[in-house]
Amino acid sequence: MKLASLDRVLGVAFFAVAAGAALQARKFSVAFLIDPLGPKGFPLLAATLLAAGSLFVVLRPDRRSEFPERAAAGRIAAAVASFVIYALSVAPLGFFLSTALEVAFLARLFGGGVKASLASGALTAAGLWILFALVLGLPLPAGMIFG
Amino acid sequence: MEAIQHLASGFAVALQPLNVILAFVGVLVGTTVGMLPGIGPINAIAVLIPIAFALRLPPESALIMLAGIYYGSQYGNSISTILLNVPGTASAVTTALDGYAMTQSGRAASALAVSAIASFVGGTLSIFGLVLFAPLLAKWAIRFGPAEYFALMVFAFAALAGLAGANRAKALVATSLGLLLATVGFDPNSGLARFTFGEMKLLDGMDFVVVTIGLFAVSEVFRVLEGGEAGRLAAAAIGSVMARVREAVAAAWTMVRGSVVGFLVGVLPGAGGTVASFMAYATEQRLVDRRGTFGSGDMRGVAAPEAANNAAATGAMIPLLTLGIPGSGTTAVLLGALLGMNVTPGPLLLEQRPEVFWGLAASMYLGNAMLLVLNLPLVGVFVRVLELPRWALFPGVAALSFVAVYAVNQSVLDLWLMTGFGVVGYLMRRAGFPLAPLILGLVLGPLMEKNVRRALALSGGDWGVLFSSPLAIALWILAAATAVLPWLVSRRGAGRGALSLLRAEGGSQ
Repeated sequence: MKLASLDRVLGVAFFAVAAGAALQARKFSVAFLIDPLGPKGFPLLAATLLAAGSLFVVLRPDRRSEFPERAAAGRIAAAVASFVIYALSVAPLGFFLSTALEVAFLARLFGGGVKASLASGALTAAGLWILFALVLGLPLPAGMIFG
Repeated sequence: MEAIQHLASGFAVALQPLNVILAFVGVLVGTTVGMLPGIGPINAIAVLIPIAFALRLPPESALIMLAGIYYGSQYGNSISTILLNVPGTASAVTTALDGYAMTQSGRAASALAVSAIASFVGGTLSIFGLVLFAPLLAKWAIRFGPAEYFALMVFAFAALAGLAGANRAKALVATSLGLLLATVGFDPNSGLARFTFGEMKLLDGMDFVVVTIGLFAVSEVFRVLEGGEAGRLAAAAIGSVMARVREAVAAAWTMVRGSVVGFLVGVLPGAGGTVASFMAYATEQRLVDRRGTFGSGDMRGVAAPEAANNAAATGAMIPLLTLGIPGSGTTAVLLGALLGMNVTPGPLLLEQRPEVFWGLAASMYLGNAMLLVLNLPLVGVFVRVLELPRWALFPGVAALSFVAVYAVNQSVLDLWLMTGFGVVGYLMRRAGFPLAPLILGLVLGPLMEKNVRRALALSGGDWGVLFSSPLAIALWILAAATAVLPWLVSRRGAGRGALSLLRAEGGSQ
């Protein structure tokens, strides 16, 4: 059996989350307790269950769970990076511009042509702007260019 | 019979032209906002309440419209869930299991039709329940104390663990991760901030919309980006309306059972459509899933939760109107609207303002019929969405996710959290962790914690209180049986390795 299957990696990660949460939760204390369980009881219970479950997964991983292929992982990493940049750019650039660029970038990533991707980005952003900002009246950032 | 007389007087109210129009406006708005992930009925109702006040609508008319949004959104919700795997609310998460699987195998039109018909069956059958049992069930639900609630929720998790197929450990991880996420934020009992890392935004807790959209919609974008077989969509022949109806008849009993389960769960304040749809799905899987097709595109897996969450929406009206206890965020907003119009829901409402209660019940018949007529022919239009090429559709799904998450709070942190949950969700799905228990844990966590703490506060720290009433004991036995029985059965069948592997695959979505 391979030592590092996706199951094992996730199991170890979740176990770490459980351990970290339990360490944090032990510090939850208040001067005056209204209920016997207090603020730490339930998080500790959840963390214990999580630790137990993830330990099982680490010890008996599913051999069929594999990491994505290198090329696929690269595309996904590019998408994740673009999401992070989008989050940072949406307020300064405005909803329309940043969404249009992001959608165009993702469309390229999905294998769309250059012109088609740009058009799809502009159309998608415009459609969402009309629906959410104009029809539903939700406040979307106009950005420094249009604002 | 008295109930029929009352209902007749209710129809007299509901059939007034103004109320018919308002019911139509309500269900139309409801379907539309239900389709848009992250907007949800609660925002639409909140937006329309001031308008209802401004128009000086009588309370029954306003309630007819606002309730129309509520149950109409249950119809619309299933559309984005089935087509794009983007459940807007927790109650549609179960529909995603088989609904999206049907879409992937080119049966989106059938799934949408079954969902509309099941919603109609659930919606109308449960109105019978509302009319016949409202006074009776109100008395029964009041006996649910904190211990019973806690046991009920453990039962819901046990039932759901069965959905995960063979791998209990992964279901346990997902459930407890959801419960842990649910404790993030301000603890109302002690006033302590938990797991917020000094971030003000997290004081309100993990936003359900952010987590769900990340885990489901964003992770789906990543999955399709892999370029594997899994993400390919196929739009199939759409067929006539009648053909779709005939196909759905095969799932008739599933819809009836789902309606009953959904209604009963919906009546319990706090349980609501999410638990109802999970329970209906789990029940149906136990009863009829002989070949293990649930989770891989079984029509009955769409029919059961859709009937149940619509029935639960009706059932939730009972504690709201007869006890004044809202069972969900949306019914809480409805309660606020009623109070604003000087209608105080409670045991006396049926006697003092019968036109409100019976007028609403009658209008729900009309509204559900309108929804069916509205939705069935439109199935073909909705399915066209799938004919878009992937490079146009999935970036659009991502953009829709951005708006849904960003528009609510204007928070960059929310977008990052959504991305993070997208990555985690993608990896978990790849490794065969079920995501539905995580969502259920996140939604039920606060209720569970509140109830167990209340129970222990009442008993002075004695854990025995959780097993002290016959009702609670019955629920614990049910929970234990649901958790252990399928495990024993699968143990015995472990020799047939290939079959159990298939089941694990099917349930892992």
